[in-house]
Amino acid sequence: MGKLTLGCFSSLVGSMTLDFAVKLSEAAVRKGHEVDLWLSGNGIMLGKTKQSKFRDYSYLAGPIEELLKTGKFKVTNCEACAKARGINKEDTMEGFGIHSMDWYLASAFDADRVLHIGGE
Amino acid sequence: MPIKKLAFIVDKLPYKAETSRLALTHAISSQTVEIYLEDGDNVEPVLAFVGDGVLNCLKDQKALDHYSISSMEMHLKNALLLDLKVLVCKEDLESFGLTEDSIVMDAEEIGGEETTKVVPYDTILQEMDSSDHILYF
Amino acid sequence: MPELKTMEPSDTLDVLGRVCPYPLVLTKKKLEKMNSGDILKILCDAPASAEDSIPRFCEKQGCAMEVVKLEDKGYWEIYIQKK
Repeated sequence: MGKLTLGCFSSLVGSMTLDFAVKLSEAAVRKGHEVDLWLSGNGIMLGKTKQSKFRDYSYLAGPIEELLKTGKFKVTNCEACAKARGINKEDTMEGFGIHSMDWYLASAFDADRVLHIGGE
Repeated sequence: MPIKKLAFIVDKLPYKAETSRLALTHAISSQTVEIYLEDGDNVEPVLAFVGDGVLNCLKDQKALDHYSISSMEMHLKNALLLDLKVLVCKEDLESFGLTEDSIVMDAEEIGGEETTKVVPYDTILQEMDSSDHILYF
Repeated sequence: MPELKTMEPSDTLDVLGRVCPYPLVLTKKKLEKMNSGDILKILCDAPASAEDSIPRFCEKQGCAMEVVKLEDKGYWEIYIQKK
């Protein structure tokens, strides 16, 4: 089995790009692969606590919690991008890592595939 | 002792979004990724500006004066100070009517020894081809 | 062995207001130019750098390090003795 590293910088709800990243993560984990998801820029919103579930809006907190339970999925917020947006450790969902940017490059180092989805 | 080559390709405008800024800071973070790796392992970054991305390299940016935000010029000079390989697409530069005189070519004033290289697109393509992973910003 | 924070630093690096990757990148660059045994004092207010990356770096390099969190001031003082 392999390792997929995803880098997603796109905003929560305002774009469907994060939804794509999460769906891809789910598919990879279902196949038995390991997935690292690095969130930077607006992507760090994915880790925000107290997200509400509405039918007409993306809701990714639930799928993320399920992915974390598999043990094959790691998700990390860029500390700088999060703090710049007023999101500190206490505002971040349980299970999210918070690291500096070199974490992403380290994840890419031993990944079989890297998909840098980028941002707005 | 594996060394993995990462190509950071930037084709977005400066300041319109934070994308190119994040490209530069992520590329710079390659200088410290070793803290997460086994001894001797490392990444080799190459930073290339193509398309609209070449405008990130313009000299005399005043973002700090007008917006109190660090300029792309500052990040680019830091990249050169840290010996990152920085490439700018010759054809895209010329399409904007720009030359080497218009862009940041060195970081001498802060002690940098590396210089920006203006190269044909084919050279950038070769760099991408020889990379283990491409991060397209 | 005296505590590093009580010893006179050879140099001080102020990275207050800077976030990743700069706190560690600038620390590394500064240390490269210092002599073995020199002490670098760093002022840093980025938690991931002060509590994670910089300590990791010191451990890898085999440098002695002390981190003092100044709650009232909102930043950390980090003392690193170059190996």
